[in-house]
Amino acid sequence: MTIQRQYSLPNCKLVLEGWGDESESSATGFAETRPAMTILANAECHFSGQNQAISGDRAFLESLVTNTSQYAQQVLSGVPHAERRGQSASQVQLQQVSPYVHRLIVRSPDSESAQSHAKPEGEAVSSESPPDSTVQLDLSTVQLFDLVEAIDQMVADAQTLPDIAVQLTPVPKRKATSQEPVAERVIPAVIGISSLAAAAIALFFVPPPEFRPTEQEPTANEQVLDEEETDEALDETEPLPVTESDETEAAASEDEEANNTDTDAVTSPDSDADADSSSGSIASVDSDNSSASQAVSPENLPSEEEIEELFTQASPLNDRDLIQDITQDLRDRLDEEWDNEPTFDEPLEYRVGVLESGDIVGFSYPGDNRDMAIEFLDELPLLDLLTIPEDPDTLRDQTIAQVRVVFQPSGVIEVSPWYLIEE
Amino acid sequence: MQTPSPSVQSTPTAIANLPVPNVSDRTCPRRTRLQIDLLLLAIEALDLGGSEALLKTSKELNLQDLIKNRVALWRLRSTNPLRRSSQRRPLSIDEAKALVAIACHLAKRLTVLIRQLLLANQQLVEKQLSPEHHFRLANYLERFRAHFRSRMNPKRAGVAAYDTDEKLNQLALQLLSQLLFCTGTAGSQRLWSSLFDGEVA
Repeated sequence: MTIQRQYSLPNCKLVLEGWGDESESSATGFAETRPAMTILANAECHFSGQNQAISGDRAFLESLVTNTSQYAQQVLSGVPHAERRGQSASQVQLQQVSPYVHRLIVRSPDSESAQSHAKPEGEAVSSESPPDSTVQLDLSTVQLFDLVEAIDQMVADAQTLPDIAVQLTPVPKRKATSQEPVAERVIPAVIGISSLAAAAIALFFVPPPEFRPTEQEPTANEQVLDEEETDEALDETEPLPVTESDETEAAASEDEEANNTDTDAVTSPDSDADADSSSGSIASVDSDNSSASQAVSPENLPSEEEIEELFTQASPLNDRDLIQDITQDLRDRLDEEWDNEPTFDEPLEYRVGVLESGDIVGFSYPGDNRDMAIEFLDELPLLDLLTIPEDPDTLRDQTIAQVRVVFQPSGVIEVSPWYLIEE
Repeated sequence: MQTPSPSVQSTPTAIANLPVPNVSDRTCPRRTRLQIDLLLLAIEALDLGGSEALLKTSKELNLQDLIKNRVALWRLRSTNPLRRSSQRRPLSIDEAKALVAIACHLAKRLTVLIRQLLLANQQLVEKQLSPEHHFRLANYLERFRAHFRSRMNPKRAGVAAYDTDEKLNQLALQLLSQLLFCTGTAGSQRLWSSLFDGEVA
């Protein structure tokens, strides 16, 4: 009995025809409902938008499976496989025409034994005329993927040609080549990254963090947020970081700047007088001031007292590496979430409490601009990122990292660890 | 068969089908670390809640033992040598597997969008139009550029190479193609295998 299997994807359809092994198919009930196809008579592959189908026998299918699979891996990694150079002998070949166009070339099996399905009877069978026996299709990336997926579904189907498998192994070092011409065409950008990156290692390998004791700026991490909505805004921000800094400087700043930072921020004349704020504040007045608290927060958020207590009493996090990581992660997340144009015209400063896990548990307004910091909270991603603890009491047992976050009207977010001035 | 459970000290099923590649000292080569982080960056550019989704997915896939929390995830990603905050710590094979499983899981969820954007790009290329002519595609590219510029260290030559919008767009589109291949039946195995091309003995 002829068995037909079809693997259909939006842009590619793989149809197999063959037979099962009679003796086995009668063995189990399941096999009868969906008997295993073990012998292939014909395999055919159609692509949307392409008139010509490709087809052939088992050798064709095997060649299609192997070469498509290898080519797909090359698209993924950008690393060409040396053996692909020698694949001119194989029936199915794939070549990259552009990043978006993949040429699938199928040659008929050679000479007399060939029975090209496309070739009408009576026409001269001549191996001298490759155009007759060669089918060439230009596939888009989505079509190529659909072919790969049809193959993977077929391979995963245990009831269809169970002996056909896909070898998914990385190309070994000695077989990887970036010399051949194909390599230059294949995913130039990826190769660009790796080779340039290699050059970067070789040329600019510098020793780890250098300390910069003279640095004045209290902000350890200052980076540009270039996520404005409009193109114009994006363009404006493109000349990137005004002050570039990374963990190196941040680390460097720890010892030298701790006092600066604290003096700056903590001695700022914020506080009691202004503490009667009325916005949807969930945070507290800075902790070294008496708390004239008027929390207007929803009930499930931590109260001002709790946040304040947290800042003053929770054990501070001492692992400097971890503090740096938490700080950077916080910056990345704020950066990602903050996608509206700032409408405020003065820097807004916040003191943010972060757990070791990275969760934000609360914040206060320590700066001069306390009112504005509260007023414009809605524009900022802080509330969105706040994690509400199920049981606020558990916070007392946790270590907390404190981070100073300043949102600049220019769209820059400055983030630095907050060092306590006490002791 | 073992049922997956967070408390059981066994290989999470999500990464059980990824073989250990034959690399020296069992840590990930540079290109592997770079590529994984860039794919995750592309996912974040596709999906507004991307970074939260990464963390959530790691829980869904029972990968908490490998990725405990947000900071741990951030540390793994910072093994990308091009990041501003690049770390010198190694990325273990299991950690890389976890990131690959997460990336492929999210890519699968985004299949429809990924296909739409690639088809749109294809049509624009055929008509010789710029990506700005397709709102959703332009939006993805813009977000990707913004993420890339704010996270990667411009002092690195590998980053400096992407000094124009166009070059970054190409990178973003190429990552989009790669994400498409991650959405398939054998997506994670294919991606995993490709990450070590030219790196194994």
